[in-house]
Amino acid sequence: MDTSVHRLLDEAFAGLAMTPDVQDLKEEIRANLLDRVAELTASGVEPDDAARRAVDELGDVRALVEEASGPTTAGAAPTAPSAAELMAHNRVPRKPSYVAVVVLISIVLAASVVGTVFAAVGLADRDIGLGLPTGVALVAGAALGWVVGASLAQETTTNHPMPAGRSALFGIGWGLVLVGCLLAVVHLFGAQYMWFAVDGLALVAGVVLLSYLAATTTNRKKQWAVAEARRHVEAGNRFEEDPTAAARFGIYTIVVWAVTAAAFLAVGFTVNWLWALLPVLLGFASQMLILAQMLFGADRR
Amino acid sequence: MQRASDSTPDGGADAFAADLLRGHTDTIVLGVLRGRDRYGFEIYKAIRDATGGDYEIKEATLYAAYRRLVKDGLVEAYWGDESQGGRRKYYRITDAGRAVYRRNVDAWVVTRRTIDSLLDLKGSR
Repeated sequence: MDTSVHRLLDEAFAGLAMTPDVQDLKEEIRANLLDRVAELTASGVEPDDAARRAVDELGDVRALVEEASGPTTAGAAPTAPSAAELMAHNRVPRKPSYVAVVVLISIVLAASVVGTVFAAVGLADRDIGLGLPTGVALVAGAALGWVVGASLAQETTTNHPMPAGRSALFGIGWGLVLVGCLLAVVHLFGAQYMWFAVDGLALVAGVVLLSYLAATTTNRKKQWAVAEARRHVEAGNRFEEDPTAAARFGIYTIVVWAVTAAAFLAVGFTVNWLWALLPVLLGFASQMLILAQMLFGADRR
Repeated sequence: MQRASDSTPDGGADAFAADLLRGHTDTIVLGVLRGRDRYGFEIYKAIRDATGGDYEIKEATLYAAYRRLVKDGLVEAYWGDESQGGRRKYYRITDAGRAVYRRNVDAWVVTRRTIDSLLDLKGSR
């Protein structure tokens, strides 16, 4: 029975150019055919007839394969639209109501984070009880959760909206993480160390939830954005075309950061540590300039 | 999509229904994949069973739909790890796919209402 399906499949694909794409399709069809044949034989059809029927039901393989390999040859548009045109064509404007509410909630978020720290300091001075900072921290968590959830559920120019349930879970995850961190600060100031267990639990629960979501999240990019990204990758990987450029870039990078580290330590020990950030900034700027020069400057050759 | 028994003499009503269904192949496949990842034959069977066995979507139509959906990023494909027989190619709906599915369903609900009222207007019942 098996041999029959495989032979018929080979016949159906006979004479077709076996590109990896077509090979893929053939293997996919093979597994499905075997299942269909098993179903037919289970219902009492003779094995050979079953194989024949399964392959017949398939329809026209050739048309399918030609469609599969067609777009690569025929689909080369004479003038590809520019990234800006694509952007304008696919633009999704922000809803004003969403922007307004997010701004408001962000103010609440910022205020409640700062408020939590102030309340925690008050707690350390024994001015107030544990209730106020805890409450403010919970408000901060809820605000962050709302902003994250509502933002993910928005459709943007390049992304499809995330389903409501999943974006709500993302919001809860980030809310838990923030609440855990803020409460830990509160309990640190208030010297209430046994509460660290609860804070840790909230933090870990948030991280676990976010990790789960990150692991199961699938593509949200719209098709035009995916195609655009692919084009950029093709344009931008000069390092792959020219390995010596990549090697030179590696050496420059080591030199820049070795000098930067030395300057950082020197300024830090002799002047002060705030000024020591200046060499780091200069180092970062040089790194970016080198990167830009090596990726895009070579066109002039 | 076509009548499972190909030789029905009056194809008029069937052809109309089959055409309507075929226009929604992509959305139907997305709907089937919403619950869990499936491979080709499972999808084929789920659709056949859902129509009570009256209609089936030609497998060639389905393969074309998978290809389209993968290209548009609405569905991701991956190979299963079966060791014997053929390896199965599984399809997983992406968040983008879910969003498109929901949008198409909404559009369908609105369209259905419109067509219902239009047909009622013209019909004399």
